[in-house]
Amino acid sequence: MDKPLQRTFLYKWKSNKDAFFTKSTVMINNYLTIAIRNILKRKIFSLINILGLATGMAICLLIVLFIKSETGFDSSQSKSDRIYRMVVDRKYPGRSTSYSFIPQSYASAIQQEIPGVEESVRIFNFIGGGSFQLKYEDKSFEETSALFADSNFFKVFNAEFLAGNPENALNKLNTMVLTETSARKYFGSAENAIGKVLQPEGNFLQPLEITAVCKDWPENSHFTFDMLLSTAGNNNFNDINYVNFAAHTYLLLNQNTNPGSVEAKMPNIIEKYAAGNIEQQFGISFKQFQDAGNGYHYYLQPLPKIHLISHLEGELKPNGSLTAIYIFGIVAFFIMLIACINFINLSTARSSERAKEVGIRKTFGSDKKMLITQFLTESAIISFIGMILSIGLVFLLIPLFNQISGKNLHLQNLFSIANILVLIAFTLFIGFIAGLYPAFVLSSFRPIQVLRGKFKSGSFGLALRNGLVIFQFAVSVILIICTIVVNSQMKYMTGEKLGFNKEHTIIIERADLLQDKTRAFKNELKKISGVENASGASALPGQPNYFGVSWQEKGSKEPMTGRGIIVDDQYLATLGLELSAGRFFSQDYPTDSLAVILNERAVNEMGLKDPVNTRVTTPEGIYNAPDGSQNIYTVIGVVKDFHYQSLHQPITPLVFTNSAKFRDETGLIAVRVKGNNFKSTVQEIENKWKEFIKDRNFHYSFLDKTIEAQYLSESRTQKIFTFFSSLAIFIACIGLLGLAAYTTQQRTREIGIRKVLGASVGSIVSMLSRDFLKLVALASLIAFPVAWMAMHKWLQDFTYRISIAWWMFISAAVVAILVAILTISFQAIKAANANPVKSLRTE
Amino acid sequence: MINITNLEKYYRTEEVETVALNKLSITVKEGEFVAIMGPSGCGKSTLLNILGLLDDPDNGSYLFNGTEVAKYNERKRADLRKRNIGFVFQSFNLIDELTVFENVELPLIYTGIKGPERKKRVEDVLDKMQIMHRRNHFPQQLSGGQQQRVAVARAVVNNPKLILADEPTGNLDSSNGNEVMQLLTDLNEQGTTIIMVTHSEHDAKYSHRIIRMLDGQTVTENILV
Repeated sequence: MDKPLQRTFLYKWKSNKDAFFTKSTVMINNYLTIAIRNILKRKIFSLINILGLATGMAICLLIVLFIKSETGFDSSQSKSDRIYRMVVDRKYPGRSTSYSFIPQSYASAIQQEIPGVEESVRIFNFIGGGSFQLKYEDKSFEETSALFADSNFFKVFNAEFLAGNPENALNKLNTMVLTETSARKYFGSAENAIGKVLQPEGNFLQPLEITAVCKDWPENSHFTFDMLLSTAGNNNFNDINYVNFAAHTYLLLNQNTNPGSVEAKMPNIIEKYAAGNIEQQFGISFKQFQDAGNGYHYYLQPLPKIHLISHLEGELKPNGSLTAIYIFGIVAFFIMLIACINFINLSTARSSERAKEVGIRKTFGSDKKMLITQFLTESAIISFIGMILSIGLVFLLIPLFNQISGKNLHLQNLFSIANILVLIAFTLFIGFIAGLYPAFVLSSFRPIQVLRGKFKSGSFGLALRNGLVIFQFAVSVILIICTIVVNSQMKYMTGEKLGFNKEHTIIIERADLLQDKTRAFKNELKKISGVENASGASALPGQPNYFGVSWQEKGSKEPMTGRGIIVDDQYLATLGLELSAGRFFSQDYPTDSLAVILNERAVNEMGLKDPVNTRVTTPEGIYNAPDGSQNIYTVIGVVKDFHYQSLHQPITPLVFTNSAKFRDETGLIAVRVKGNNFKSTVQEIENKWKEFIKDRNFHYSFLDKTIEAQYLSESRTQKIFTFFSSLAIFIACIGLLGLAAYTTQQRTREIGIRKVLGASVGSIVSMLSRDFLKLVALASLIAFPVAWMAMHKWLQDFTYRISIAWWMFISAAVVAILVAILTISFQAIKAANANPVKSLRTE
Repeated sequence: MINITNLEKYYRTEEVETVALNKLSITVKEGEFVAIMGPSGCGKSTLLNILGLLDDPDNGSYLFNGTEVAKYNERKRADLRKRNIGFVFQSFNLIDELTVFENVELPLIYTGIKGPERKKRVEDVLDKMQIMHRRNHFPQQLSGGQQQRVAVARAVVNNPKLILADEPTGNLDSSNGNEVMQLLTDLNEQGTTIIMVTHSEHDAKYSHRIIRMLDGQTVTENILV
């Protein structure tokens, strides 16, 4: 650039700069004035517009909070990128199970054998959903969240210590670390706890000395504890064992170690260490073990991903779901889209109202760019108001959402500087997306046409608005159908066809405390007038504690693997199971301690033609003589298949053995209670318990709740679907309401003329509603196949599932149409009842 | 000032083509007050729109102060318009959401006049139109005559060389109508060129010259002064 030209350019810029900025400020002031007056002038429209947008944004914010929390698990661990959990797929002949815990001796073996493994630490969940009691002086509490951990736990996981030293806190036998809350509970403060001794019940635990207190373990971790007990010097955790799964094992890898290379070295190490154990336990070589269809596949899970990807046996806490994250993300996107569509629809529909202004502005010197800026400024303002409102909405909705999703989200998590910047950017983005099309439409009006009142909304605009309404309602109908299907499946899973009676049954826990008084206690229960029946059992439907067993016909070499349960003679009657052959256990037959009962599936798997009186054996130690010689059992009956496990799984073989063989001691007692006076009956049962067990509280649960608890994740999905589909419909209706109001307003003159010519109110309402209902009907047709595909896929997760029925689609469409009719007719009836003279005079 | 030659304008729908202006030629000198009359549909409004650079002709030439503007693009037309032409409409066309002051201020914002100067000019013109006491009211709060006075104030606030008035008294009673016509006459006497479309012979008498149109052509021209 030569000098003079440069000078001219600079001069021009300098002289114009001030003018440019003044002009822009004035212009923006003018836009703001008009925007705010417009919002205030058309209060209902503005409210609809802003409310729709705010609701959409609120849902997005909720979902963002949810996703942030779900994906942030274990992120407070400073070494989270180097910590891996070692887990296993265990292959059995014909099936396999994945466990989140592994044999307890591998931790040290792996650290020894693989150089890249810096530390390995194990934790043991020894109470597994139960409880134990701890005492300090006169204070005693039931503890439900305690783990055993190796002494190097705090070298791998970091925690903030309030008292004591993490280096040696778990170094000695019978020592423990408390969390702040637990320390406060027993001793009032963290400092007071150090050196104190807590007295446990029973023989399993020795008195425990408190060596340290750390801050409460973060909620968003895949495991949690109130206290950590030392494994040091405790033989239970340090005996050599490479076969039985017990320890949650975590490896801390070196900075440069690739987890894949660690995994690659595992098979050889497993063979080296497990072979001896297998030979000892099963009497066969590792090769024979593998040839029989057994095997182990060990692999690593990165710590930050465990919460979302891992759903193995023995998880320390129920984990989250990656699918849910995706589904929520998609739902957030579509709901925001629906809200934006409302904005676009209402803005363009109302464009005729703004047309005159556009005409005047253009006549007096505005160009298209200025007008686009003006309308985008307006939508940005509305978007900002919406955002502020939505934060208020989130504040109101969070408790409900937490209840539904089982999370503990906080609004404060949104307000970091970075998040606020993102929120502002998001708000501008939404303002831009929602305002762009209306801005282009409005700014393209030709002044001569609009100022002469010849303005007519174009056919493209109409088609677009219709398209958008169809889209909105299609999404809503899809969500309604999903809600119906998920609800039906839930009802099916917890409903009538389970094969047993789940109603009015309570489960008394820790019945093992009764020991030799079990039978006497059950007899006492039956004397209570409100009790129908009582039965001792090791497991009840819906619980995980059916143990693995292997039985075979005497003389056969084909073992059948399945699940086992120990029950007394009243189990069949108490649960309302049905027999398909033979009889159930009975006190009239003393030999029943050597009897078994099979379910139909077990009969099938063993290939028995005439199962009753078949002789069977099992290698399991507890069923055989103390010297190891095998007892011979007789099949005395067959129980019809019932869903003792979740409907996700096929019914597997189940073998009942008689609790009489174990002095009738069982972990649980199921009590069927008569429907009336339920409360007082439970009170009487509790009183009875106190007579037998003085120092332990009475704990019970409901069988139907236990069954429902198996479907916690589905039940959340169900609630969340209901929540979102209601909101989606709400937003879509807000849009429809606005559009209907606008259309009737546009047709006021036509309605007036029709009324003068003799049209009835009914015919006018139907004329106004018909067009919208056509759109909703079309939307339903589009929604049907999409919803069918989505739900068909979802149902594949269940071995036992409902079939999708036509009525589900029809009801969804009917719901959408009814809601639409309600929305529209409100406007239509108002318009049809108006005095025609008035509307015609405005011409 | 204005010299149009053989101007043509058609309106097309799918089946019909309507001729709005048919080889129309008109000259208007600076300082003139011209009334255009004719039955509905004769093309007077089309002519006014083209003169006001709100619409473009299909054929012919339009010299504005000696510059050919018939083929100007939207941006150039907007620029020329905001500096030289003021508009007065039958239906006033005030922006309902803006106050009297803000409506009159609008053209000055678009031409980039700075704050204090703008305020002074708006106040001056409101004073002149005797509507100053209503400066903070919204259009709906005014009578028709007052609204049209605001519209005239808006049209002249930029000191345009040309004012185009499209039936300026069409929505007014006779006394308000006469007031508005007097305002236009005063402006014309101060040097502003005025072209007015009207149905009213009474209003036309305020002008220097009446152009009568029929079917997109001029039929007669009456010189009144």
